[in-house]
Amino acid sequence: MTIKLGADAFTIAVAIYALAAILYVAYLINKQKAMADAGRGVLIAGFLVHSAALVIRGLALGRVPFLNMYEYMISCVWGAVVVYLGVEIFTKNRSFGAFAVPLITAGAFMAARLPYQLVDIMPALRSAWRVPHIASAVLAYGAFAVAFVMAIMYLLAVKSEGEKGSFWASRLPSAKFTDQAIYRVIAFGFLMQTVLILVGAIWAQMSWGRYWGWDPKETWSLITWLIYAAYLHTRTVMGWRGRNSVLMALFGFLAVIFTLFGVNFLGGLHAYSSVMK
Amino acid sequence: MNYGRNFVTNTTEHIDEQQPGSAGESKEMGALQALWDLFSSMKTAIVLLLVLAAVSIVITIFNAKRGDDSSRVYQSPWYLFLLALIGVNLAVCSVNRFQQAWRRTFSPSLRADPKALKNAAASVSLTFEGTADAAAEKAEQALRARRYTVTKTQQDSAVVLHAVKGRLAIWGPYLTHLSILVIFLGAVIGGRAGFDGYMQIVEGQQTSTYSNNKIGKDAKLGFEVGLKKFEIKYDEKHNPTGYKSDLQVYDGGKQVAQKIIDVNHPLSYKGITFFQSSYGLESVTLTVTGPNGESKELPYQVQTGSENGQTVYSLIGMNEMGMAVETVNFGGKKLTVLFHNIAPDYVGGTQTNASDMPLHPAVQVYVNERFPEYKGMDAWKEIGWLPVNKSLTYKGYTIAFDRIVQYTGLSVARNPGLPVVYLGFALLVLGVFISFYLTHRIIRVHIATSGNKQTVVAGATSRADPSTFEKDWARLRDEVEA
Repeated sequence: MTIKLGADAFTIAVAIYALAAILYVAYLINKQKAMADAGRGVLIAGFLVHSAALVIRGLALGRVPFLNMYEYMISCVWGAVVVYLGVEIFTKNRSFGAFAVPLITAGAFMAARLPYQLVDIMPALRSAWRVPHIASAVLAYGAFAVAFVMAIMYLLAVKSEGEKGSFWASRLPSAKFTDQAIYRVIAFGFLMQTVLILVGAIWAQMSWGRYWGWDPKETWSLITWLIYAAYLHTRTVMGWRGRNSVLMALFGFLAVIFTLFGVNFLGGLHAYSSVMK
Repeated sequence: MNYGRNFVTNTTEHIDEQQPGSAGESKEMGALQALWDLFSSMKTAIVLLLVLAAVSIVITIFNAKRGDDSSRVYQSPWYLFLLALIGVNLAVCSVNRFQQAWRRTFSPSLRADPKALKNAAASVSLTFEGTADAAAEKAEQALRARRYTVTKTQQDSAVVLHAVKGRLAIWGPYLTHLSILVIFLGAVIGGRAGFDGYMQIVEGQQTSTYSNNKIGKDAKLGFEVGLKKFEIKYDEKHNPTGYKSDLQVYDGGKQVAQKIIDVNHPLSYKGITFFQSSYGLESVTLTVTGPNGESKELPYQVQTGSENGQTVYSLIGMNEMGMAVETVNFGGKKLTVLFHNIAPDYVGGTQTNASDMPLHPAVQVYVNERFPEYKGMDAWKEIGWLPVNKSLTYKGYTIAFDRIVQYTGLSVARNPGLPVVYLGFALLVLGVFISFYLTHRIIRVHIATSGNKQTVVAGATSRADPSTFEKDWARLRDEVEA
């Protein structure tokens, strides 16, 4: 069990995901069920290899692989695959895969290019709380990413609904169906986001003596939570459906992106220039 | 999983009852009523959520531009006011919807209208040969098998069943909103009755003084905390893996607690918790040993300052210029030693320092055999960097870096609101889970007699997704039409 073995296994998984992506897109184009079955089979195969890669890395390191950018990305992609498979099973619809799986592949490909070597753990991160914290993040952001892909598909479906003989109209799931599916995925993501924030707060209390410090990462995860909470309220209580609802979901994903990446940019503007050379 | 959770229904709020009274009175009532209406509105809730999000976004960017990483702005009156508005909104909505939720749970309407049932999003019509009561029993059996709680009533000339399950789901949003209020309460308790601060303890010393952030100055703990030893644990590559302080607590003159704390494992005593926060160099001790075996111990205080955002260290010496200089004369051979620089994280080479944290201290040693006659720069000879526990030799002399004394920096905090906050956390997760993963399902069955046959119409009248009832209809069919 070496890190290199794990990294190689992940590279293989990326290749398998690429094949699955091709199959799903082919299914969308020619609507043959065999393609979808093959696509799902290949996706699951890729998922198993991906899972093995994570396990191998974990065994080689002696800890759960949730630490540097490489580990974080490969875990998030894994989370997105879990959520996508859930969507396929619960909605019994394979067309989402034609959009989701290529994007998952792209994410996996980018992750594979990150440096995978050992990273030293800061003493503050050596805590059991790290595992549920990152695990819920992986599932939350995986879900929000899948919902984002579905939102794009919704807009495409709506745009092509009126057009006769449109390429998209006969292949995409109906706008209404996609709209409902987005809601279910976001509900799951929201539960995970709640767990993420609260576990993070408890960890912060144990480590730093305060459960909430309004630092950029904390504040932005809360902002994301608030936007999706608003989305869920407009849907359940005000009965919003369709375009407005989906736009809110898209808007929420922007907050997710900023929480994950933009926060570091904010951090750069801080007086953090005293970081060691 | 379920679709469209049935949150408490209408967008129009509660029943507005006009109270009789004088014109002036009803105007006041009108204003209060309008305020109540505003705060019981779902639109208000969504607006507040988004406003809070937007304001927070602005603050984070604003803070970043100013290089301010404190949470001060979030504790300002107007931000707290925004949070208070949300709290009021939650409270008013909860009060408003309580009666309805209670009624839906414990005394729902048991009526069934066959026409409405047939038009429901999910329904099934069956025929049964036999008596109405027999049909009812079959239907009830089927529904009980599907874990519904069934109530049978007589409605005019028909037998009617009311089957329900998942009533807990009604309280999901309730619990969620309540939990947020509980968290707010915990935060307020913590803010009022709690405090946070900081203290430093030097190895081998104990103190009861700490700096209290709430009152902005030093205060006393009421007991003493001592540091026996501070230690940094390293891995094979000599990277720090842990910062550990061996703390003792003395109350009333005797030791009452002891714990080796690190970043994720604090020490608590009498409701006050001590967290490993930082550490530093307090003093160093070097020894100069002559060729004849005589030696002298040289302790120096360490001083830290800031330069370009980095922490810089220097040794405070005992000579008239405050420099760490010592002249010794052992075995007839005079030698003056100058400890010119102290590098906190010595790695050698051109870089010298890997960081400004005191991980691997080393001192730069200069010697001068003709001090104080020759004081110029050319009289001093650099003999090297001397890390802790190492020694250098020069013409029979040995200069050793014996030991360092460190201090530990502890975050001190007391938060009586913490249990309340944690309770709120647990309720929040539970509430969100119940809201989205439990479904309140109601099936009404109407059994009408026509001749010696019964027309059994069952319809789902809760807002759960129609597909969730498929299995229920299948079971009914099996039992009733068997």
